[in-house]
Amino acid sequence: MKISVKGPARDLAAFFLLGARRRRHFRRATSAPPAAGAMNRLAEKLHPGRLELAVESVRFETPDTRTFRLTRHGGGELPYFRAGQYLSLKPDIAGNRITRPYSITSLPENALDPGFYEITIRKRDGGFFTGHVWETWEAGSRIESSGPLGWFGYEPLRDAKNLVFLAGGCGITPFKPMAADILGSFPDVTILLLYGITDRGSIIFKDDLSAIEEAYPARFRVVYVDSGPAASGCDDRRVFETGFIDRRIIARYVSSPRDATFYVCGPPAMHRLVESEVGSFGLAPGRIRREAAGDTIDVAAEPGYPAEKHGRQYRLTVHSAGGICTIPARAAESVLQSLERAGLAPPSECRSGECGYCRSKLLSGKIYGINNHHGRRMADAGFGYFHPCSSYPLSDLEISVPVDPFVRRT
Amino acid sequence: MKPQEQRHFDAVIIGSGMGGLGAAVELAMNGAGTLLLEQHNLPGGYATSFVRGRFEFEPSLHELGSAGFVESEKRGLKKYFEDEIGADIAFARVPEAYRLILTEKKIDVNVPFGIDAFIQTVDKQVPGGGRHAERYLSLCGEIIAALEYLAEAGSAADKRKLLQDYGNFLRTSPYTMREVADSLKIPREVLDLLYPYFCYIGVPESRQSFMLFGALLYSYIAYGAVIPRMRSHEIASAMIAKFEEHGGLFEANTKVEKILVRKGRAVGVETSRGETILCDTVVSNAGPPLVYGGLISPETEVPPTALRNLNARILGPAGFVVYLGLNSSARELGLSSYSYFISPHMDTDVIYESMKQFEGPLMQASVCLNAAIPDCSPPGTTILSLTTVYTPGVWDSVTPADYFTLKNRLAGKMISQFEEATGVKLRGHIEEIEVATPQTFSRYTGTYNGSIYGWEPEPWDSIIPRALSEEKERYIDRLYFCGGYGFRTHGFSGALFSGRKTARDIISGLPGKEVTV
Ligand SMILES: Cc1cc2nc3c(=O)[nH]c(=O)nc-3n(C[C@H](O)[C@H](O)[C@H](O)COP(=O)(O)OP(=O)(O)OC[C@H]3O[C@@H](n4cnc5c(N)ncnc54)[C@H](O)[C@@H]3O)c2cc1C
Ligand SMILES: Cc1cc2nc3c(=O)[nH]c(=O)nc-3n(C[C@H](O)[C@H](O)[C@H](O)COP(=O)(O)OP(=O)(O)OC[C@H]3O[C@@H](n4cnc5c(N)ncnc54)[C@H](O)[C@@H]3O)c2cc1C
Ligand code: FES
Repeated sequence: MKISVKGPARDLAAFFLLGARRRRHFRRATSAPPAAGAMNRLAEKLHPGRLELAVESVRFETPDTRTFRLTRHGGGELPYFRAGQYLSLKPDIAGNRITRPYSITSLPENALDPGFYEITIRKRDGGFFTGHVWETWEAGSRIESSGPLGWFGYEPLRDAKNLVFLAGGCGITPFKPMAADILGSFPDVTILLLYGITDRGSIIFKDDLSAIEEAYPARFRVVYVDSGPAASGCDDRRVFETGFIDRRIIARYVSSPRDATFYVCGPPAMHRLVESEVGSFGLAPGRIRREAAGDTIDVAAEPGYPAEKHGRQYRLTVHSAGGICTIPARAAESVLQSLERAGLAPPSECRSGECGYCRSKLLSGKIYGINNHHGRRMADAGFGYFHPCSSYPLSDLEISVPVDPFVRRT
Repeated sequence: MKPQEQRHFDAVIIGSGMGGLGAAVELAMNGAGTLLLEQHNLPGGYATSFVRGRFEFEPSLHELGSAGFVESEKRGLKKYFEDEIGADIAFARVPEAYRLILTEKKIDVNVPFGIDAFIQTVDKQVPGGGRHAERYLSLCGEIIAALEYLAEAGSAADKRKLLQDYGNFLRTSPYTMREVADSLKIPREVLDLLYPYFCYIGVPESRQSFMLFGALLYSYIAYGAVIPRMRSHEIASAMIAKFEEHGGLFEANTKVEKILVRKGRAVGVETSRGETILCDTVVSNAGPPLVYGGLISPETEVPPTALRNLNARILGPAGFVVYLGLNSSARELGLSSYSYFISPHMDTDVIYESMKQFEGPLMQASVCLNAAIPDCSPPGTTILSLTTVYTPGVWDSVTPADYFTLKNRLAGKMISQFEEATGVKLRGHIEEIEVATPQTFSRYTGTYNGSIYGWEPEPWDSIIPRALSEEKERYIDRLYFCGGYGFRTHGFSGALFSGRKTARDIISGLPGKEVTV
């Protein structure tokens, strides 16, 4: 079969003239340099790799909790975000460059106008970073940060219209902006907040939450669940429950749990309790949303962890940025923490195993992975990659760690 | 760590997409001292994956065509991975070509792989149409044969042999899909069944190079397609492992901010970490719009002809994808196919125009991964991704404050379109959802304006003209390109093999070096 489009001779001529046609197109074009891509600019606005922030003011929430208002160093708008997201702060404390995630407690629109984020930090006894903050942070202090990160938040295509927020202690932080933002944007959504506390005298965001309740009386309700020593059963039932958040308390306020989406943020013990309690309602898996847990404080309490290793010390041989060094590592600390302690400034964001930003290569040795390396990509298991933030050494290790993109080469 | 002195490499590669990886592995295997720099924390560019909850999603790849896994003869990617570089990657077969649902035309048909089966399906759908499909496909087969001959023969290609054996190829290559279909007098109802893969290039029949489309159609239909079992991150990881095994150095989280050019010759790069690295050759997997639009330093070294070359092209479409992790099995949901091509009709010019509107894109190309890899997600769950494309520019006016609401609304529209066309209920089963917009693609790969397929391949800018002018269009000495903007145009294997070819060109230009494969 011989095929021709415009006559065999013309077709062949057209083929051999393709190059000339090409050059003609080029000749007719201008030599103006391409404009910066609008999508590249939008990406930079929404997801800048790094932010240089400065503390504008400090607010005292409770005796051990402070809210810091952060603005862009030099002024200007900050990246917009989804209520529920966090910042990964990148402090350098006496030569130790570490990272710490903190939920943004201000509203998304404030990031654009007038241009601030707030984060609310509870001081931890002997806390390495929080201690440093309490000692040194004041108006004008500068702090390097990631842009907004994380996947905890309301998603209308996925979530139910009845939302149940389960907060414990300073796990209330993402819920404050989430409540205000969701209620303001989605008129058909109702929210119940069950807020686990231990001291009625010092509840983080009590006034802010009351204000939101007043603004949306029919759609927002806060119930404090007091497990503290002073808790008594006879208080005003509309506001206080006593004990821990359990299925009995939930059932009292949520008539049909299967038609709700639950969000959990709090200490690990609360996560465990709540999950088994909420689990008893037989919800579809996606109906329980969990905020990233952060550093595991007590790896020995994790299922399957070989207890006999806990007190050991190991050596890590680390390849990074074209060099090699050997550093000590405690079995009880994550590989990430050992790298940070040694001043190697490894990259990290969620510190929970889920984001993959700390992804490194295990060249030799054995590790324990929290939740069986839940956030790791399938192929990574086969090629020997792991997440140092949620992995603990069980032997001496040799690893290869990527550089942090924003730490200048020395 | 010890501070290091100035580093020097035979070659520095900017970017580890399929193009950069193809070049990197080939250079390292041939003993060139090679540094591969990647701005992201993972290699792969579009060849990657991401995890949400219980699901690991494939961000881009629908199917690898012409992969050589189905034919009796080992060829294409299979030969490359297994024999050339020795990478062990597990692939799964894509079960059928596509389920085509044209809602306005009331067409809903499962189109199989295999030339004969395909022709029979067309004939059943359009009585008497089979012989048109047969003619069309047979011409497409000649295109593939000619391209294979040209690839094999390289510069030794013989004009007389071309005229004798590949006349149809020569006579149709200068034309568009429309021009060729008109001359063959293919009825519209048959074209409706032949054209759905148009969405993999995103250029309408009035301008799309027939040759390129014909090659793509034939390779899918005749040879079938595969998909890596552990998402395309597996391909990228396997290639990095090979690269490192052969002595290559891969550094992630490192963006190249400048390509240093002195008197028309590329001499090195400067990175986001403040390092200047010198080299004999720079290979860029970052596309020409990025390179000539900001990376060349000093700017005065950008040749005006390079900019003309760039401005003469039209940037191909930007992606929009809704990734769904569903909490029921594919069978429970009623998802029985792998590829769903859904559109009101198959008038590609009208579809192309719709890509210029926010609410517009009429066509979606959606994939249920479990149909090829049943255990790609936990038992009782399903991964479904819905993809459409926009003309670059449509999203330009989007502000950060609108961004989330907008992408959510558009995702909702695509979900509804899928639900209405297939009768499958997705809402109520969504356990995880993630939406990638043109911004997202720019964010992760740096691609110019979210474009995912590079330049639109019109006939004068299709494979042959690109390949013939590569050398002439190397405007800066020792600066090579690889990847989707290269002569093979976009697609995983195109990008990969363009990288391999670039590496071979570099190696054969080095004194005393010969290509070993
Ligand atoms: C998504 C997310 C959001 C969060 N949001 C909030 C919030 O809104 N408010 C809030 O208060 N908290 C929040 N947290 C917890 C917060 O990130 C910190 O974990 C917490 O403030 C404790 O910090 P710290 O450094 O004081 O505690 P530490 O207990 O001192 O720090 C944790 C680890 O640092 C290591 N360390 C000690 N010394 C060194 C050293 N010299 N070098 C390197 N490492 C060392 C220790 O091994 C210790 O286990 C959030 C966590 C996550 C994951
Ligand atoms: C939604 C979608 C679906 C697709 N479906 C298919 C399909 O079914 N089949 C198929 O074959 N193809 C498909 N493709 C196309 C395919 O993914 C691409 O054509 C191919 O992967 C492109 O490879 P590349 O090497 O050209 O570029 P990229 O993948 O873009 O790689 C470029 C790399 O360079 C890096 N880089 C850029 N600038 C710099 C810098 N300055 N410094 C350092 N690093 C830099 C980037 O981070 C990136 O890693 C699809 C694409 C998308 C988005
Ligand atoms: S920092 Fe997120 S996985 Fe390790």
